Amino acid sequence: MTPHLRRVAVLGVVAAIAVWACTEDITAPGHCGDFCPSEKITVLDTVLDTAITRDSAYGRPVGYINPHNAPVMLVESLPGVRTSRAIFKFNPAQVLRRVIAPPDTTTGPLLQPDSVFVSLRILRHDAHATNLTVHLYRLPLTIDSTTTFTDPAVSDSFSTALLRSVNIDTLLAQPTRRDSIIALDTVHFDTITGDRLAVDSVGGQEQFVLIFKLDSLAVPFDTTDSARAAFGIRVTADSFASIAVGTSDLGQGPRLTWFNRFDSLGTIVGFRQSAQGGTAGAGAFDGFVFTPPTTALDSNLTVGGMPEARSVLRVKLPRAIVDSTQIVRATLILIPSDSVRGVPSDSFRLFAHATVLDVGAKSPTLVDPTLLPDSTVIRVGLTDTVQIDVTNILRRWQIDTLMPRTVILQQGVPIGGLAYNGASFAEGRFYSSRAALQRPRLHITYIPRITFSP
Amino acid sequence: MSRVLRYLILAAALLPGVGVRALAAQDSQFGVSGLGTPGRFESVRSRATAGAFAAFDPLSSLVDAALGWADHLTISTGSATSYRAIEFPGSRTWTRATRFPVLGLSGSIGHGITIGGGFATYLDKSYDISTRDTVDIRGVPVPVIDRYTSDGAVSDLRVAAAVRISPKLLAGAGAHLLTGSARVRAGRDFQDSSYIDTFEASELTYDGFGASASVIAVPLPSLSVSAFVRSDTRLRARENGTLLSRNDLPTTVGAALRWQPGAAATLAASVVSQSWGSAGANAYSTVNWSVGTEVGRGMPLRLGVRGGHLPFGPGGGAPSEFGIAGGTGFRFSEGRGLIDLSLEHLSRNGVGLREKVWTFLVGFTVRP
Repeated sequence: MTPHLRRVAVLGVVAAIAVWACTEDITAPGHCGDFCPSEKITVLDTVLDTAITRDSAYGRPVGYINPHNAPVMLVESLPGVRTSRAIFKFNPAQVLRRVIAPPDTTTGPLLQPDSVFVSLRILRHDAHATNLTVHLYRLPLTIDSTTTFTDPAVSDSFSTALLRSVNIDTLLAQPTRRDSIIALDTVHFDTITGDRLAVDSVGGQEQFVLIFKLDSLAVPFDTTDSARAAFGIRVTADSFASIAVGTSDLGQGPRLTWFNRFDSLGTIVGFRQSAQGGTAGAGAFDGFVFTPPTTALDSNLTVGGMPEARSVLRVKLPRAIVDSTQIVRATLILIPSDSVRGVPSDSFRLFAHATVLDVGAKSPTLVDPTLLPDSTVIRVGLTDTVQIDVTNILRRWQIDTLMPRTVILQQGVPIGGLAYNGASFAEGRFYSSRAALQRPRLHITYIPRITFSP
Repeated sequence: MSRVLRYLILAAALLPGVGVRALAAQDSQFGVSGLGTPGRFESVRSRATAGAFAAFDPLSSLVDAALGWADHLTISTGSATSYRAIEFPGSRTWTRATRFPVLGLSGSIGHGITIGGGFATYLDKSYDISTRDTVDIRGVPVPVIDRYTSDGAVSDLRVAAAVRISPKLLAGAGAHLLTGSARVRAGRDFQDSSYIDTFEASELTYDGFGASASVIAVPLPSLSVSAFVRSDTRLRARENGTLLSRNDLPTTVGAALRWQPGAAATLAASVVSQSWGSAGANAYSTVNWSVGTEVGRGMPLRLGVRGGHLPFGPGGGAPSEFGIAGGTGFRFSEGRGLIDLSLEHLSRNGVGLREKVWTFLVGFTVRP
């Protein structure tokens, strides 16, 4: 080996060793006490009894969400508790007359339809309900957002104008078939009435699309009023008669489809059309009426219900905790003043939101797309203390010291995997800071600032 | 550009790990309980003799008077890769680290005066420790994993001069600026997702000052004797400009002798005492010794043993240390370039902990 080659070989060996050795791995095993740095991570825990102040509930009689702008129409028949009925009015039919024989522009009126389909999406129902029956009524066109349960025109119609009753269990027992006419899906089909029921699963939640098939006797094509039509829904069951029907506010409102006929120079032809826009828009409406009216707000903190109520809480945190610690968990402790009301076996989420601006009842909630909001599940009938994690909120306050230290409690009801406000009658009532012994408390677990050992 | 420089640049380019982290030569978990792990002011060549030749080695920064033998401009550096077995009762693990412990520059300015400087690790402050524990929070046992890390060191920036008073006597003195920083981090991960994992990080800065003086006598052509002393003042640690601590630093006193019975054989021995005992909690004054030999020319064989104590460790007593080392070196480009290789094994014993460390060192020296 020449001296030059020898030098190159030596350099190569050195380089190889260096490359092989350049990775660092200096993690030592954990036998602390004697062999760890003197700084220690300590966890402290405290319950702040008077941290919650200036707390109030808002949302009655006019709620954050009201029946006319709710994401669902709540339909319930709970004897002794509540009766609620859906009411909705469709937009006019798009076409009332057609050209008889083109190119002649003379038009003639559409004839009465041979069938009319009313479709509903039942977004939520109680799985324990048996003999769940949905009743469809014809209602007067006078219904709107001011209509109440005791409005004579409405209450009379629910007594006399029944169009169809469909037992969901019975319809589910029917064989399935492909419906290429109206549902465009596989449906359970009633061969006698022509009613259809499609079953979906959205976000782990079973949903129904219920389609009533009616005729022109039940739903006349009244051209004097642009073929507008209004309907009502009532529900019965052996127990737990409660459903939530999608509305136009959710983009899943009822649909009305006319299968009109038309006389084209003696030839009767079919013509299909839908109520344009369904129940959305100024001329249409969807909502629900119920009795008894929801209890008014009191000195307690109310969340949920209909009209939807929310509670606003202000938090006074010790400066030492905000400035010099790392909060690893914070829990808001609420004591119910009454058992949570609603349909048995039902539940909802209680959300705690921060706000960027505290303007009282109209404080906007802060939604951070990068963080799941702090929440906990509340079950109807609950009387135990409610604990809701507000760790994210408090940590955000530590970062942004200019944020108002205000927490907004609001309800979220899961529909198709998402949580919606104003989608349930269930409401929780919790003691406010005015109840000295049962007032809301804040449980904070934190790590004080570490002093590093030199 | 000379061939030497070309080789040096080529070697440096092939060493991606070196220079990434200018850290200490030797870290130890014993140092976590004190100010850190003291570095060794020894070149790779001296490390091959367990430090016995450091008192007579102009490439080492232990004795300033040895610069008097550096009659050419000399640049030296080195890297060290350590494999450390940490043995607790009932458990054992390996760690690995690559360091860049020493850089030196020296040269004669005439009239028998040589000046030199460079840096060496004074205290290594790098560690990464994970522990598992279960803590009671809100009345519920919650498993946690804590992790403490520190990445940094205190470096000794030295400016020194040596003068050859006579053919038989050299004297030297140096000034030492101690400076450095460590990025520290302490974090806790909760196994219960109800709790948010957290950490806190900071950067600590250090400063201090020291002075050294030494003499080397050559009473016989085959015998050299060295005596040296160094006094370091205090180490101040600051966090964001706020003084955290002030620790006394040791006075170092040492002596060494070198005997050359033949043209191709040299023996050396040294003893060094350091008063680390005043440096704070878990600190002890130490006395360390080493004996080594170098045999042969061209590619000499170097061997050595060392013993003594580490200055920091828990348990009421200084951890003991014993090491053996060996190595060799190459000359090329008519002696203008040197590559030194060294392999060292250290055994450290303290209360509740044993460490076994293998360290491979590569040193480069250029004399343009």
